[in-house]
Amino acid sequence: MTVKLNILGWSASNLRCPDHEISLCPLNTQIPYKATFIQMPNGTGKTTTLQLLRATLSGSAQKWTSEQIAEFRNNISLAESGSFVVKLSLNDKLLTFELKFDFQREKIEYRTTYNSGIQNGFFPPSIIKKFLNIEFVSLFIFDGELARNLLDDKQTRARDAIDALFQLSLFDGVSSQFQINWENHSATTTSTTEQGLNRRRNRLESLKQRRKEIKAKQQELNLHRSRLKTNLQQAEEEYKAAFNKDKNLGAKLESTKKELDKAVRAVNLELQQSIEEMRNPQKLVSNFGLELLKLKDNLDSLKLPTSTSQQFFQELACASECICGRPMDKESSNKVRERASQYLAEDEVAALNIIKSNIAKYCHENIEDITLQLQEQIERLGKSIRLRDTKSTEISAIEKQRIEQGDSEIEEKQQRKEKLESKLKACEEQIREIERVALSNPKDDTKCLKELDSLIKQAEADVAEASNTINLLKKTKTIQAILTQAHKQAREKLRRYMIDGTNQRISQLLTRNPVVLDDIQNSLRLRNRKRGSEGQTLSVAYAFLATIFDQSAYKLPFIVDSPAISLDLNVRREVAGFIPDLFDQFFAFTISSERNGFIDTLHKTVDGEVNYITLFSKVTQTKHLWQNQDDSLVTETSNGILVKGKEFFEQFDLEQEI
Amino acid sequence: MALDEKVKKSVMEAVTQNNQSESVARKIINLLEELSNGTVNLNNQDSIKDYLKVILEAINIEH
Repeated sequence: MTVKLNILGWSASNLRCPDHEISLCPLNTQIPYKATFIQMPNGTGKTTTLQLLRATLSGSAQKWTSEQIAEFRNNISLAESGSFVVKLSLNDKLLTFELKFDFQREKIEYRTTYNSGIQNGFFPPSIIKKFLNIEFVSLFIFDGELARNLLDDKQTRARDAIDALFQLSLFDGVSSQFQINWENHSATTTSTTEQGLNRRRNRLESLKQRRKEIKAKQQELNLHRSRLKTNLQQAEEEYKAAFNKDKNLGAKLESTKKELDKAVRAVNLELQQSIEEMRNPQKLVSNFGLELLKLKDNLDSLKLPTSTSQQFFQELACASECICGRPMDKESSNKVRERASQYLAEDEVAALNIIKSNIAKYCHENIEDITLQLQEQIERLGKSIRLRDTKSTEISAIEKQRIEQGDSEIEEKQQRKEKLESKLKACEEQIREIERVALSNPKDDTKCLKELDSLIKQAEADVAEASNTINLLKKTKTIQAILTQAHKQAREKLRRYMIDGTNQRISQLLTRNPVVLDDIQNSLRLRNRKRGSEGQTLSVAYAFLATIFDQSAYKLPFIVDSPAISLDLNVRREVAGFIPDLFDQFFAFTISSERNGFIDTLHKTVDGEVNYITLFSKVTQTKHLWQNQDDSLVTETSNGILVKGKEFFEQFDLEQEI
Repeated sequence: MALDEKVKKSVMEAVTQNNQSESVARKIINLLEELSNGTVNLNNQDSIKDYLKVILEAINIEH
């Protein structure tokens, strides 16, 4: 996409130059003349106008000091404010920058108008923003000083110009964005190195190995438990047979065991009921129910929740009429909407109603009845526990009595049985540990399979995260290497291209006294000499700018102060011959001595499509110059005279006339 | 296009030197052109992040 920027004109008022308005376009058009020459005699404010053009197009006046601002004040009228407005077209859309001076407060302000929007401040459209800074604006609003800067090895203007116009800075900008992208990603991860990734992989492997071992252990324990159970069953039977040799004690033991079973079941039942009773907080804390009943009473006395909800008022605010029949205007609607927030929302009303009805249903004023129920239940539980313990003690006593009879066989059977019971208990404990539910924050040495599964899942996620991060880092480094290489290679290609192109143009311009451009690093370097004459420097600068602008997709205007003053006649003709081919719009501030060789040649080159303007101060000494001119060609302001036309332009020579 | 042919060629060469495919070069050039045209802004991470993602996905690190 080609970007085309033209300057359509500008106006100055109450500044150090004469008030004037310059149009660079034919009447009623927005397509500028191919070339415009503005003749301003020395002392008319030519330098001021150029400074204002640069400042207005670059936003650089925002950094001006009070002293710099004061320098632009009109010392005769001493007006308190002034302005400089530049009208441009950007791809055929109107763009205006306004620089306003407040000399009282010693402040300046910018105003930007684009796409029918006005903004206070300097806001160039993004498409052209990179060129509207003081460094770049100084390239296309050109003067002898810039020409010297381009060849000054302490300056970087030549390199900056190539970088800006061919947008080489984009490489660094994009590379930085990839770096930011990587940093944003790595900020949320805990491992960003190969070592970190390996550590995570090793941990995952170790957890998987542990899980395998525990699974094998679980199978082994299950088998062992099954054997222990069989052995225990056999040992119990043998013990029972030996015990029953004393029939009385055998029958007593059997019946006491049945009673113990019954007592155990009773304990479980009472325990369950006790827990159920304790779920009612009123039974644990006697005042709890009373306080809730008080809360309900308070809500009732406050008539909460109200029957009208917030939603009712919000809907009312949107209605065309109030419920009282009056029309709902904007002010009333806003008030209703504002006050609606003082009412509860529908869901809040519903929640309060549920709370109130549940308090009424479950809370009782008779606390004693409520607490008594729990006390009675706890007593029943205690009683059943005591019975169970008694039966257990009775069994121990019967067994003891049987052993005391001196039967060594039964003692041996009992010991075997107890040993197996103990082994089975230990085995079951280990199985329980392996099969239990997972707890939070398990350790890597856990024996619980469910915890190991959860740790493995987390470790797999950690490895994936670290692996993605490492890949992203590798990719980021690759793309950054590409961008750095591409930047370097592009700069080298453009350097070679610029040297060849500039030298070709120099050889056309300086046929009699040629110089050769040897290299372009920060600045332009001439072969075998540090600097050229004034004319050579200007010619080299023209040749360089002509080459650089010729290649660019950006079509910018070219504005020059005294374009030919230090050039030989033949160089003037050469420069005037190629400028119109390079720039869609060219305009120059000239003095009368530049007409010969430059202006006449350029006039022919553009087939006469030239705008001639002469601008000078309105003083008594200049009155005779414009008084008898055709009114349609003369514009008079409080302190300036602007005359259009080639005839007046060519005849004008203020130094001789006055 | 606003991006100079010499700049585009440099991108193509650098991509080849880093053993990446032509598609990577095309994606980088596309981003540079969007930036150059002002449709994408370097100062706005949101506007550029999809372009970065597409380029990163195209990069092959399995060499």
